[in-house]
Amino acid sequence: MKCYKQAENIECQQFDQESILLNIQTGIYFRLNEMGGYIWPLLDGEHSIHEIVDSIVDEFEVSADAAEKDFLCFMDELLKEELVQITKN
Amino acid sequence: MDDIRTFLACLCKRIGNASTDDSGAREFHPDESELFEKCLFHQVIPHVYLHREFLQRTFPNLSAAFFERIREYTIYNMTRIMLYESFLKDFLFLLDREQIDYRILKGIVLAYDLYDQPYLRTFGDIDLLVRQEDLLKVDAVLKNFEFHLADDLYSNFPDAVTQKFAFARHYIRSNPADLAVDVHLDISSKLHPFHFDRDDFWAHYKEVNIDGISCKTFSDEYAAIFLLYHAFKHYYFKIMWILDVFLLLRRPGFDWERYSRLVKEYRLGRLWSIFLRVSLDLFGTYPVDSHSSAELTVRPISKMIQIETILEGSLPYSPSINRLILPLFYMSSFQQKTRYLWMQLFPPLETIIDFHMENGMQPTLRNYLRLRGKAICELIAMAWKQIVRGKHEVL
Repeated sequence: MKCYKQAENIECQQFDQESILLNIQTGIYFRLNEMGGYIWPLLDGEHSIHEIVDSIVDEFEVSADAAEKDFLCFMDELLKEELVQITKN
Repeated sequence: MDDIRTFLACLCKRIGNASTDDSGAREFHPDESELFEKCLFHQVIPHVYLHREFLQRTFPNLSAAFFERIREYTIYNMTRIMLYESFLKDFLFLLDREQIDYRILKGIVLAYDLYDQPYLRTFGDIDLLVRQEDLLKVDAVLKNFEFHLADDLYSNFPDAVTQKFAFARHYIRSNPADLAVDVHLDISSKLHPFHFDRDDFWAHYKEVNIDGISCKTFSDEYAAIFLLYHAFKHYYFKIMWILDVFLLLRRPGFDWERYSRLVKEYRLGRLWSIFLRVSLDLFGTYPVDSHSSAELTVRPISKMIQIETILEGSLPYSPSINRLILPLFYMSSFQQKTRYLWMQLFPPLETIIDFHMENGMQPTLRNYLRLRGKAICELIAMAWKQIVRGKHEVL
């Protein structure tokens, strides 16, 4: 089962409605909106994609299709920035 | 500049919880770029962010773009704090392993210990105080983290001079992430007007919790003395430095008896008096109640240290003349002033390489005397101008 896991050396901090991700090796930081901030702690290498999508549907009252599409798009961006890695559970 | 002063004065009153004029919008047309730069200079941008709703109400002409820029910087500052916090954990672990005792001063400990939210206190480096015998070990630990000595003012001095006059050593690291550590061997340089008993400060410490790690710093009363001195050391004033002292003095449980004793012991009465006056003008209130402040008199202060000058962040004279003149207002005794003036006019030969020689000049005795002569002539010319201006004002 494919899962996503936060990369090492990434710190996360809440700031008002945003979450700030910081690569403590490079000092480069990223800002996540409310939904991104909600998803981030779930990227622990344990939760499956379906579990996370279901959780998003419950929390934000969006359709499953839209939630999955947004989630995968978000994961692509995080992978590109090396903020997450893919694991097999 | 009037608009910028109005904005900063309003912000300070708000920070000090003074009764601010919240009655309505004000006519206000500042250069927003200049206003941002002034907030940056005073290191109060996170406070602008914290009080943004009040400031938006009071100054409705300020654009949304200005406040967005403020927010961007505040987030950036928060990431800097996260970086330093992460580094500090590993750094303190190694200091402990190498059995190096230390005190962390100002910046990061104040961010976590004094302010409601760490992001409210900005800082550019970690100030580390260590014992001279541990300097080589500290150097090795920092190099282990890929730090190196910065090519700055102090790096041109031989180690013996750095240690003798207690100049800080500035370490930087640019890859990975930019970080800086200032290593101090003493609380004040021997060329500064006030001297402190380092061992006394060293002995009075407390431990601050920074996200689960314990970090040694001066106890509140000693920290207040050090910060009071630091706020005025640079001959120009930043609101953040004054705010540090202001907030520390307001802390519940602050030992006023000990603090008053230290003010007297280190002959900081005049500096304290200036600080009280500046606090009242800046924050609209004293940091202490009348009972606590009764023992320490508030006297009128020089026209050169006025709230307008502080808010503008500008110096009354050139940097070199300020370095010479302003500290004289902080000292109470004639002997103290004379000694300081002599030290500034005729600094020790070992220290003239950077501080007093012009670019390209050789540090020979002849050049030294030439430059000292020039400095004295400048001083006389400035004093003469003051006298003439004084006469005009009287007439």
